[in-house]
Amino acid sequence: MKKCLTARVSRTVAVPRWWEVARLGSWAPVTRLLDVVVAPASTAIVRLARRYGRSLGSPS
Amino acid sequence: MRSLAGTVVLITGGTAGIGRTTARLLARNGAHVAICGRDQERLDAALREIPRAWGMCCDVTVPADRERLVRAVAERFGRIDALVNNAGQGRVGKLGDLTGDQVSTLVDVNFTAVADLTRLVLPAFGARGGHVVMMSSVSAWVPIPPLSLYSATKAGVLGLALGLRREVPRGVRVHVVCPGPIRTEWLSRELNGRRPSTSHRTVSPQGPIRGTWLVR
Repeated sequence: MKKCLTARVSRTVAVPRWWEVARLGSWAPVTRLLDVVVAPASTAIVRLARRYGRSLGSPS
Repeated sequence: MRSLAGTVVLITGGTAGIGRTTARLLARNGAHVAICGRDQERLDAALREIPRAWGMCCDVTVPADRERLVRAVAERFGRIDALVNNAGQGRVGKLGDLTGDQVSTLVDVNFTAVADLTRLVLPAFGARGGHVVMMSSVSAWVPIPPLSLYSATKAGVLGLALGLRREVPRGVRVHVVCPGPIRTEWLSRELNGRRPSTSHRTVSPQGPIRGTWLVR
């Protein structure tokens, strides 16, 4: 944030920096691959997210 | 690197999570920080923690509140040098499982408020120029099922920023920050109905931002 507010040019940054790899998700071949892989698993992914959420709520 | 000392920065959603951490960091670097949040108690707590900051209770989804906020900051500090569009929320679930109210609230907070606040702040930069920081997400690049609508709003913010860079006057910089997985308060609340406990990794006042596998 500090780097943005002192920059001389407009910036687009991922935080942490290695998440820049996520930009590949906008590339058509990767998008198509994700469509094929993620779509059939979407319900399971939502269920996993909920289970993960319950684990956040339980004492560690 | 240029200094932040004396810079007037308005941070929306500065009472919790990334916004609060940012406010603390910028205040420590000498910036004049203005924060806003919906909850007066949390705003008071944030202001106690960051004595150099100034704050105002404001719901960014209400147009009149947005105007009041920008006017108040400009009157208080005499100018605005930077806007950090941080306020945001998310809904975990498939689009078909959300109610109409949830859909419109999410779009209001994550996109409409960002666009309108930016519109209101741009004239306040004047000839000096300034910085607009849009808080997007890596999910703008890689939308994932439980956060499809959230990802779409963040992609909208990213697109808005890229477009704005080509239309704002020289001297105005429009930045986009795309955080990866961060356990912010809305995410924990959305997933389990509770604020994150202190025993879990969160956007900590002292520590670095730690990740979980879900995006911000």
